[in-house]
Amino acid sequence: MAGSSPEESVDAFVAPLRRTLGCIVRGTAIASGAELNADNAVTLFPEGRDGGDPARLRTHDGEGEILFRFAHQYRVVSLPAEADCGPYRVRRTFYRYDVLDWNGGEIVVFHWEPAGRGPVRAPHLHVPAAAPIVLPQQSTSGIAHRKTSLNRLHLPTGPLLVEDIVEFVIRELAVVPLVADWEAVLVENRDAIDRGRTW
Amino acid sequence: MNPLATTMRTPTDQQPSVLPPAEARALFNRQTRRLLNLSGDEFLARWEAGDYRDLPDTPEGRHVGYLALLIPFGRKQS
Repeated sequence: MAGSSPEESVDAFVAPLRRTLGCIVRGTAIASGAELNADNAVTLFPEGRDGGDPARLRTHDGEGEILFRFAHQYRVVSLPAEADCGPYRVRRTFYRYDVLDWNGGEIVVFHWEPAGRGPVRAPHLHVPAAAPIVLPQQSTSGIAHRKTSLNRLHLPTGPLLVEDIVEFVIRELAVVPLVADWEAVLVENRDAIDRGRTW
Repeated sequence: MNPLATTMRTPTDQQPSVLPPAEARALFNRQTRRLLNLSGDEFLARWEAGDYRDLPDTPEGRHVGYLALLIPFGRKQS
């Protein structure tokens, strides 16, 4: 994700995103800008829909359907010490990946809002589709019958890449991959990110 | 002419990585309309006034959070 100009660094950031998203989505990713040290965003632009809309993903050999949307914020920064590999780099500053049911209801959402307004700044996930449970307690406990709302928890995760989410929806939610070599695409893009040491 | 029609083309991986400013603002405007029935400018004014500061972390509140991530599209100047 390095480049000899801010614009080139954004191109180098968006190109692998597009390849990864192409494993499950007909459409592309589109960014808002390449100004140095300014907040910018990238989101999905699904084919036949509007930019920023969720994409429809086919599941279970085409019998089912879920929706997926994502947005990242990023900054282009100048790192003169790394000028040998391009002094401009993209740093992610926020992300969210939302997996929704066909009607737009949240199934699982992955967030990272290090400068957000909520109390949880570390990467986390929500499982809004989870039902409340009663945690077993001693019968004498004052909270013996109190419900814990799993759907409201912030479950910690590490920083997640779009590659992680694409693999998750294919393996766990039976999304139909659109390319045969999707695993190779994800490996290649993860390796490139590791080489760039962007997290 | 519908001012939002400029982005209704089919996206491809060959197109530039960055949307032109007018298309970026149109993208943001459509999302604020779709999720909150507000124009992009109305949403930005409310955001900057702090109207969304105490939103709950619920599906409804997270609509605003999603739009907040897209704000850089809405702030693009030609």
